[in-house]
Amino acid sequence: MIQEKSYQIALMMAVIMHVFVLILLSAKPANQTPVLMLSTKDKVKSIAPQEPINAVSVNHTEVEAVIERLKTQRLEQKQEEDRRQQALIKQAQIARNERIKEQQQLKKLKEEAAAAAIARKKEMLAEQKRLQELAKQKASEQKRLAELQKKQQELEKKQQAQAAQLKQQQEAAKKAQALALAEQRRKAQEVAERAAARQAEESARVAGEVDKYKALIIHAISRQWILPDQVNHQLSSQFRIRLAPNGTVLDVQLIRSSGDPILDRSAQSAIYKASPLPVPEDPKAFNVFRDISLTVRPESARG
Amino acid sequence: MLGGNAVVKQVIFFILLVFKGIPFGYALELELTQGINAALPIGINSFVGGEEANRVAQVIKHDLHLSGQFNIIPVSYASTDRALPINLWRQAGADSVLSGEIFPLGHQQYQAHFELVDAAAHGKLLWSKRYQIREEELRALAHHVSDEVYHTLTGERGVFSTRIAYILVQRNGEKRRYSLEVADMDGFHPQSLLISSEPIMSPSWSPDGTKIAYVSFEKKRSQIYTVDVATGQRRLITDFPGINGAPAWSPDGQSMVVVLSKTGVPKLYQIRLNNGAMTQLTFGKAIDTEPRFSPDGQHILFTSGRGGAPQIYQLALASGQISRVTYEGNYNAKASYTPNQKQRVMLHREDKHFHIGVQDVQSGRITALTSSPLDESPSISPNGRLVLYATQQQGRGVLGIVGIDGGVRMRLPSREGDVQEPAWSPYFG
Repeated sequence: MIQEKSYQIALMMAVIMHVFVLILLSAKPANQTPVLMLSTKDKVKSIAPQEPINAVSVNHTEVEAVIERLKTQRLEQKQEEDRRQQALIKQAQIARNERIKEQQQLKKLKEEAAAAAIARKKEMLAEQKRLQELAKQKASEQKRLAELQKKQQELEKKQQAQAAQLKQQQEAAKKAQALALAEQRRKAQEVAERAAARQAEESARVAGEVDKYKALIIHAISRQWILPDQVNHQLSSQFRIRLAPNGTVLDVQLIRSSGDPILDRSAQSAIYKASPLPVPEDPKAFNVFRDISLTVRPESARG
Repeated sequence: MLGGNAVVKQVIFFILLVFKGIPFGYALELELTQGINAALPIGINSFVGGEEANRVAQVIKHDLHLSGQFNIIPVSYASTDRALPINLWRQAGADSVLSGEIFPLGHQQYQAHFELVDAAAHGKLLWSKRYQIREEELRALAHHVSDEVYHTLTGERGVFSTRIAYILVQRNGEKRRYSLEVADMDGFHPQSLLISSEPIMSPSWSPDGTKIAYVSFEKKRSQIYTVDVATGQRRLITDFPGINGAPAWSPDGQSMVVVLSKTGVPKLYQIRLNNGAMTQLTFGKAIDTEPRFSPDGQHILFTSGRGGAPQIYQLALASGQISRVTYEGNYNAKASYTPNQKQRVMLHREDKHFHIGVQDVQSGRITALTSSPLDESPSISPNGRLVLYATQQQGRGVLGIVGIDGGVRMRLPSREGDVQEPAWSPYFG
């Protein structure tokens, strides 16, 4: 971003510098007059009147040498002058180049500033446009809301009307329903009673089966149970037995040891040896026998 | 979904309630309270390893059969050298199966390996062990395996490594030769501790099994000695005028009760073994004999004629009180307690014949264990399950073993001569 104030100052300085350089350049040619000629003229005049002339025989070669020397001096001076002029020209060129560069830079800065200004303007315009659009949208939204509200109100009105209608219908239907329901209930009760009676029969049958097979299982295991000699009659073990539908003993787990491992093992062997245990064929009744908890207590022995 | 679950639960609860006695959340509950009294069925595979293995198997079979608590399932196949599969043993009725193998290692050393599995529980390992032994130890190893199998399956200590002492009487025309012998409990490996031309009687093991007390008539009168079983060293205990007889060790091995008639009538005396101090225990005019300490050392059972016919009495050592113990039969003698002190074994005569009888301590009732007419000298095994006794077979004195519940009856192998007055050793070590 170009800051205009500092740019202006820089511009000012550059201009001043260029003017100064120009002045310098234009003044320079006055300084290029050879100094020697003026000063020697003056020097020769001033010496003659003041001192007696000492006549000195002049040598050719010496004069020529002096002339030569003077010549070379002059040449050198000229060369130096030329050189200085060259240098000055070079400097002027450099300064000119710099000036041109500066001018170009200035131009660039100006252009950039202008471009930036244009861009900003564009943005502002865009913003304005957006705001306008937003305002438009808002307006349209509000319109829509208003419309929706209107619609809703209309709907409510309709619903109320419908509700009122419905109520009337319902009251009429209710009366009819009550009558039908009473009839239904009476019928359902009859059905339920019949079902309950059937289920009681079924449960009794299943329970009967269960009791019967419980006894059969106990008997089967008992026949195989060799009591350890002099076993403590107070002890008892508890096992968990899992059965397959055909009565096969799938798994025997000791849940609670009696404390006497021989007693535990005697009962475990009996359970395994009694496999397959007698179980009911009816799947509902068998389900009760899938998982059995057996408590074993060596109270007596068969004779 | 939740609603549906709750309904299902209610239905299940209802069903379960219908089947009374079923606890909610678990299985059907059953109770078993009656079993059978039977011997434990065991199968013994042919042991692998030739003659030695076969002999070891035979000893084990004999031991287990002798215990009266096992039913050795016979192998109905033609003899095979291989072990039978577990399910075949199961089908044959075995609850457990014993297998073994014995390999020679050279230099008369053998390696043996045994396994006992639970056939009912599908081959679960119950016991297994490896041994390395010398040839002469094979028989002892067999007895040891019998002990291990016995203990694993009954929970009790086996007696197959114990020994018996007895008197062997050999007749040679008019001459008699008496020897005090010690043998394995199955009658094998007899060793003479003492040989005499005069009677030897009443052998009695010390509680630690190192010594045997006995009555000797070598000096033409009765004396009581003890002999060290290992060294044969003897010690004279009593040498009084009259009867010196029926030595009985106290359970702590510190004293003995003997019968002395030095006062004119056979009476019981207690002798301290370290210093020979004597105490008279019974008094009066009746004959008191055949004393035996109770296992707890508090009482002494003895036979006494103080009630008329010989009956069993008990002396309480602390109080000195004497009470009568037997009221059945017309003759009761030689009584001793089982190790658990719940029963007494004795010589019992109902009418004319002597039997070995077992008396229930609590009720006092006596049951006959044996039935042949000349049974005598009962001696109880250290685990209280078997009774060793002397009997007659074909005119010769032999030893028999009977189970305390009357189960097994066996005769030990007969010897040249009459075997009498057996005494069962205690456990060793």
